[in-house]
Amino acid sequence: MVDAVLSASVSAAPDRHKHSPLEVDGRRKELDTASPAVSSLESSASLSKAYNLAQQGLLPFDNDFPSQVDGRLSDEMKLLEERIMAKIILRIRPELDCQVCYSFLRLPITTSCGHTFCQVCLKQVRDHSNLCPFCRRLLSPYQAVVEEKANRRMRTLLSNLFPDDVAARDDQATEDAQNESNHVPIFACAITFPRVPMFLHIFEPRYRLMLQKVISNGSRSFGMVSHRRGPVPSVDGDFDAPFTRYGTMLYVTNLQMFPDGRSLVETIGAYRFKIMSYAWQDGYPVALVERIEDIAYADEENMEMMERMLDATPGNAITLASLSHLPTQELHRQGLEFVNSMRDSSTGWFADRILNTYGQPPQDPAVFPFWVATLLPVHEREKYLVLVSTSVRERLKLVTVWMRSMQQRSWRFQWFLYRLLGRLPAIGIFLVTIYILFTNGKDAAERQAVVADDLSVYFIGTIIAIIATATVFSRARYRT
Amino acid sequence: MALPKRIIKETERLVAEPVPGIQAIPHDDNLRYFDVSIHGPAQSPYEGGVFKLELFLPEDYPMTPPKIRFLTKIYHPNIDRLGRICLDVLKANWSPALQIRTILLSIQALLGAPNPDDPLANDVAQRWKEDEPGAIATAREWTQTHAAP
Amino acid sequence: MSAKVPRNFRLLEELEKGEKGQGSDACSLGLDDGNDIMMTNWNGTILGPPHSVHENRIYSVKLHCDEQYPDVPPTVQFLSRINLPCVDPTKLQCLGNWKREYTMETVLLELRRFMASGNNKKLPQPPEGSTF
Repeated sequence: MVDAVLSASVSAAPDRHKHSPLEVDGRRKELDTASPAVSSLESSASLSKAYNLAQQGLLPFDNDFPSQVDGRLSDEMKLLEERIMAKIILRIRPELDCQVCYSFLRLPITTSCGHTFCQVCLKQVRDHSNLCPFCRRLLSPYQAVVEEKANRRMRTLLSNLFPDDVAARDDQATEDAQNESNHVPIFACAITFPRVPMFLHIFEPRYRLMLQKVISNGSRSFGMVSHRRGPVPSVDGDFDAPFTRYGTMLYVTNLQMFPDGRSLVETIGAYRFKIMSYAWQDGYPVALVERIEDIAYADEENMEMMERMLDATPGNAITLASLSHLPTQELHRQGLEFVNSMRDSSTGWFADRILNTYGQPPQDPAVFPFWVATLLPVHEREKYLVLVSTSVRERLKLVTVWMRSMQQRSWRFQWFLYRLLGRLPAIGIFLVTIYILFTNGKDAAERQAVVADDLSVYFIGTIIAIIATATVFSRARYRT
Repeated sequence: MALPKRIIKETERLVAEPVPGIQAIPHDDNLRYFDVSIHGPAQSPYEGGVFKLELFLPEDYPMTPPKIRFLTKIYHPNIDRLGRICLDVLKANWSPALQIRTILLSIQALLGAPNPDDPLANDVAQRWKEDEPGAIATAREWTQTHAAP
Repeated sequence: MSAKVPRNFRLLEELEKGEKGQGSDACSLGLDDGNDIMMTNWNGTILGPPHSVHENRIYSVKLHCDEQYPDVPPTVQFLSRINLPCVDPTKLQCLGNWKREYTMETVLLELRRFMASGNNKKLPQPPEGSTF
């Protein structure tokens, strides 16, 4: 059958080229009389007839056949044609569903292995695997997939054949995007603060997807909260997620994506928020958040005044209460002073290299505690109190308590070392005496001969040891 | 979050065009959790048995495979005592183009073609290699005892 | 709401975490009967917390996860004799604020924390190795 058709078309082909355009009508007439199929052309649907002719190799391809017939279509034929077209559309429609989301293809991308998926779906697949979902052949590197343009021919076909589906799918995508913009993606990782930079290495597929979404929707923002360890902090109320309720919105300032899909992200804290409700989506939480702001300046002033009036006598213990007599400005000034003194003693937390990254200590008292909280090695539970505090004064007091206890600790340590150093020679001499007494008493006669030798060696050894220890300790003193 | 469209469509299709010998019905209170039953394939030691399984579509399905295990006791080298299944497409060879239907078909096929060289239940696999007729007899026995319809 | 992991798959996750050795070093968990397809009864051990009377002791407990787990907490029973405020020979009563995300490991670690807290770390204990 196939052979017959083939030979028919081959035999028909050479004749076709013999006819000049003028002769086409003549040929048509020839065909009309020659074949019964062609003679019935006008009483039936042109599409099916054309197909039959083509199958028999009788369709003159260089003829602008459809347009000629077009004008003479009867209503009946038009109806038939529409029905055939509807059938074709019905048949190919299921072929145009993406095999990942089972929805109509949106912005289709065709892989090098010839399979077509929605752009969004393929990117998501690429985050999890480097194989084509359909045939498991290797996909292009991540970067290439992300930057790939949608298949233009496919798009044109889709929008011509299925304008309604394309529109519906676009609407749905916009709606989804809107829903997402009300809901902030949440990254549970570490405690961060407003106005302070944060650097992230994103490699988990779910967070890669999250990052890609916030970049493509233009918001460049996501919420960062900390993992909750231990019981729910009291400020979180009945919020019992595996992460904290309060967090900081981060804005992506710089993004360096590696070909394998990982990325290095530079962000800066924008504002603090409280999670009102959340749900999981694509493996990470998305939340409805409420921005939290500091109390009004007038309230701050009132608070300061009240506290200073009620001032308890400042005791030795470093507590929040012992700081209430200090003006807010003074707290800030002392904080800056502490940073400077720590810097001069080249303390690790404030080394120049770190200051280059995190910036100089902020002159804004509202931000200063955030900066300190980012750099000082304090327990997250303590830092969380700074994050949730809506009063500048309270925050300053919190970090002042940390800084003073650190200072006290370091001062005590230095004092201890000083005392120890002062006594080292004494301790050394004491030990040597013990040694001599011990060796002499034990085996005096035998020892007597060599004791002079032994002693001198021992003395020199001890002195070297003392000098070495003293050097080490005095170095340590500088370091603390 | 609403149930992804893909899960809704898959469920609809499973109900509308069921696979012969396989049934999967979602729980009313958890649409990602399915009660599954698979008929043992003909000409296998599991013929005549109806095996109950449970299936769960995790949060990032279809990027990650469904979780599935047998609830009916079964003597099979690739299925352990807790009903966990060793099947490549449920692990490393998962692809988002696969679906509940194809996975259940693969499991049915696994019943028809046990693979003692990639075992999950070591004792069963060992026996399968050393005494295949005996192992098949046990499998048949277990089917009658535990998987009677 | 996020995908709610059904009981059995949740228990499988907990089992596999133990099998792969990803759990805490301070406690361990295993199925009481490896053939129990419903995974109802579990055995757990808790390594006594340091700097307490419990240091270097190993306590055995039994956990029972019924049909409603993890919507309700497992019931926990000490097999090793221990003197703790919430433990009487039959039952344990300190699982008040149960959350669905909690696991059996959470329970064991919480018990361990409880042993190390306040007065409990000094309470006189029955001889090591004795059982209820």
